[in-house]
Amino acid sequence: MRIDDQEGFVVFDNLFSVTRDLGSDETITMQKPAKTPEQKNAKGVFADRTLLEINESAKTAAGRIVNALLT
Amino acid sequence: MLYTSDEREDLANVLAAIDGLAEGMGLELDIDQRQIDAILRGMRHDFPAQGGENNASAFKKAANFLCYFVANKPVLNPFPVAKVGDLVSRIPNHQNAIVGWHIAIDALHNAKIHRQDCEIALENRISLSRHSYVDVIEAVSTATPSSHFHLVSVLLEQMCYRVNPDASYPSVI
Repeated sequence: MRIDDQEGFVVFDNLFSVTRDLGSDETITMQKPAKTPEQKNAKGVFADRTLLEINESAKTAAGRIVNALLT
Repeated sequence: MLYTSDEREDLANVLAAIDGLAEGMGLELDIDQRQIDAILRGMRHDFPAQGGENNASAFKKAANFLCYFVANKPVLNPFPVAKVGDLVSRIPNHQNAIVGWHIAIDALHNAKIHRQDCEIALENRISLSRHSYVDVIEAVSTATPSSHFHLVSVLLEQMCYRVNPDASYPSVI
């Protein structure tokens, strides 16, 4: 995953958007959501995490999953 | 992480998680984005608990997300046997069960639950033995929101209490 803070985009390098009926197949890119001040203060039940934290947590989990399933 | 006030933030969070899992496994994944959109819409629509989405616990929110995720099957490629082993690779829809399960338990880690006068954080992450993990993946791989939401919610809640015993109500029955 790459975050371009200047342009405000997030590129998910390992994910390809497949729309079979349209024949498209390209890396998923989206505009990075910008939180309004109200959203930043809104409290949900889940802990607030950055995209990088979520991404890193998943990479770590993937290693645990593969190690566990292959041993 | 989920059920934020902006559906686009949910989308970015879900994609960040899937991308991280893919990179960690050394894979590139084909994603049907229309199904991710359907998951994020469906999990908010007519929330299947008293009081709706705003009053739902973290367990119910995570469960609803997980059921919609595995039912909508946004990850198109089964994971190779070289990454998940023979047992899991034979489970149909294992890739969406693995991804959906990870996102649900990651969301629950440090989620807040309400107990009468206070809030408690689920400080410890759900963890399973290899044997239980394979069983859980097989069990959730065929889950649907209409049929399995309550059972998946109870499963997640009890697994959270197993690693966060102080968060549980006292046993009385």
